Amino acid sequence: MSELSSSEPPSEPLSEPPSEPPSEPPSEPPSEPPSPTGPFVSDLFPFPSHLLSTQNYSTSTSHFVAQLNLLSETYSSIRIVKGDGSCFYRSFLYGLITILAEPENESERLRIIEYVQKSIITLEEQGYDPLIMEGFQEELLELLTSTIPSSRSGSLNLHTTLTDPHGPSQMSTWYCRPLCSSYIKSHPETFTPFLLSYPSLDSYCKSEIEPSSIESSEISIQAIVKAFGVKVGVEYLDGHDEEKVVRHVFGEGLEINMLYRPGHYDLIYKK
Amino acid sequence: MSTGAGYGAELLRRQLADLNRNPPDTFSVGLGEDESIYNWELMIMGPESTPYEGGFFRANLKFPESFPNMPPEMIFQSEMWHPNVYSSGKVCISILHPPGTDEHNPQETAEERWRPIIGVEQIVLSVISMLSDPNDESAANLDAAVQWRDDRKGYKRKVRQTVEKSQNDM
Repeated sequence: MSELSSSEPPSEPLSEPPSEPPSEPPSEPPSEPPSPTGPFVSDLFPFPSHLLSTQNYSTSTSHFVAQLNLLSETYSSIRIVKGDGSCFYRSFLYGLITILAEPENESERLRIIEYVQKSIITLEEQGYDPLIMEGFQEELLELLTSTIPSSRSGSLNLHTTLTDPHGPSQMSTWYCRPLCSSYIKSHPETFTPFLLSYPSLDSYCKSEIEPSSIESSEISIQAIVKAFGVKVGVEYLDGHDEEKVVRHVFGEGLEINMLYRPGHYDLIYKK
Repeated sequence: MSTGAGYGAELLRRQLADLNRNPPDTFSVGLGEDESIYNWELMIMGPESTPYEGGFFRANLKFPESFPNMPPEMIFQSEMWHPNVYSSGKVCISILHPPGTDEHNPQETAEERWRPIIGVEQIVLSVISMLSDPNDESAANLDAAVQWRDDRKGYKRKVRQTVEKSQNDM
């Protein structure tokens, strides 16, 4: 990301209450949300031309086009993610699994497999039924262990696996939510100050993280990147400022980049 | 779906096996006549210290193909007189409402929503808890709700009749 168009938050992002994503409503409906019945994650499309050709951005009334052009200095492709309330988690999982398939990330893949294997212990400590959790966990472990560093044709197979509606990715996507919850509940000192309006962390997780139709929030993004030990960069395509795109960076480690259009996340890839 | 090929099927098999291995005190489970993992039969014991005590209530849990994204339906086969059970036997409690239906019932707190990680045992225990503690703010059986509120004696008498009937049907 060029420094001109990025503003990275301090390294300890929860040192102050998380800001909402750039807040005022955009000057026009920003975009058509992707279909909730489409593929989990699309093929790779050129960025930003794919968005420019599929969205009715008006150059006269908004800065979306200018912001896309700014982003095009850094990013060259995009995957559109299904808009069913789980787009962040799905983007996260797809981005994570495909990055871990790169041969140079083998040690991170092994570290994350170990984290997922041990996650049942934390979940059980936080009151989750291990019998049920294992049903979800095994699917995620299957994705992680079948992610053998591979050639280009291998990555095509990985895309097929990750987007198979009857494959392991659906259960794995849902598993991200209790992982997120258990991280929040096992770090009350970090999260309680931001969730004082909820009766308890448990109540917040039950209502705002675990139902499959609930979108992620900055809280859940913070929790999941910390839980997995990876980095997510989010570019906020909000149409506010033609000279700047706000970028938020969550966590540290292997990097997954997403484009946020109000209410929706897609995966974007650097040049 | 009757083939049991969905991703929810394995989750259900696992829970059925566990519930049969470690039977709960208050209910028992098995598969329905069609042997589909998506169709469970339950026998629920009426909770103690309630009018339902002593009853053996038969019910079905019908899981959709999209389970666990979508919740199952629970339908009492035995006669049931309760504010939150429709006359068809279908149970109306918030954790069994499909995602996105909250706007129909503003009383429902978000905490009670369906979540894919809710287990079958938790569902049945919630229904048993509902038997002990009706919610008259979201009535499925209006007559039962009004009677429960205004004529508790008549309500108990009616429930006792269903208990006796369930015992005779055993």
